[in-house]
Amino acid sequence: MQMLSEFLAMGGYGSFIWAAYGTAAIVLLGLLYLSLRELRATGAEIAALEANSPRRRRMDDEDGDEIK
Amino acid sequence: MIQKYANPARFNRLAATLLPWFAWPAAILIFAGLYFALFNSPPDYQQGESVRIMYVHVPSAWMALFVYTCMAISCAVGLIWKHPLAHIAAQAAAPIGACFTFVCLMTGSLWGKPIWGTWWVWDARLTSVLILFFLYLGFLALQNAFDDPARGERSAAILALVGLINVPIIHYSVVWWNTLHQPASVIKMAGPAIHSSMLLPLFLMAIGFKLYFLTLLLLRMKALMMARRARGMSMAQLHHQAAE
Repeated sequence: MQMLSEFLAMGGYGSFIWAAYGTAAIVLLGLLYLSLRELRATGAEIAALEANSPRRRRMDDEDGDEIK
Repeated sequence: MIQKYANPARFNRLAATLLPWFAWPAAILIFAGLYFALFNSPPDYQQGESVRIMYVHVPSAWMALFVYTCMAISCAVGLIWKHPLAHIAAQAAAPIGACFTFVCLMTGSLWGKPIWGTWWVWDARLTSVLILFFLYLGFLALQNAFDDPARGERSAAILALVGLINVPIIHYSVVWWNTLHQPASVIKMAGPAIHSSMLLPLFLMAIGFKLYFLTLLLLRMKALMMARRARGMSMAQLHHQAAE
């Protein structure tokens, strides 16, 4: 327990060191999260556009039945 | 050879192959770097434990410059050879570079307070890095400032190339002007001036950050190309609806 608090205190510089590492982690992992979310959202958008693309609809009309 | 990868399908295949080779080593190197940085490296004889901030600050600073240089080269390729992937690469890199620059500024500030006694000074090094941050933001803003994406791309690319002059200024700012900031101690002619026990975590973090950048770059490029495709598809559908 004492070892842990000593480690966290970092010789009195603890608040600066942990704030620096924390900022880096939040910013860099936050960008990863946003990038992945954007990728997923764009993928969903393309899937939606493909689902009602004119070519597909025309094909559906020719067949006379709907592709679900 | 390069033209080959302008094809989105080919790019996606290449990206899918490369991604695990960037992402996993990035995670492993950064975790190893953090272990040495926080647990297994000595405190500095002058700065005590606060020197551990160096292991995020210096690699972020290197990345801030590296990403900007890549972005500017990519813009030049886009302007000169009109390679379609070049502008996408630059557009994907800009937010990553801005994040690394922000981390560099924040960690520098958190290191400056206990060691220099101040969060910020308007000296050449700090000011030129702040300008780098604004160049990234300006690039992103300019890109979206036009109705025609091609015009935005071109204007932003020119800004990125003009701003490239800032990169050597940042590097030499600690030599040319008086500053609180310490001079380079790793990249110098006579070899590094810091002990190997500190160089190890520094290099692990630096290589880890570089691979992390490549991971993010591929993910963001993929998203941008898909967004372009979605835009094209919805335009085509609008035309089709108008024709009906």
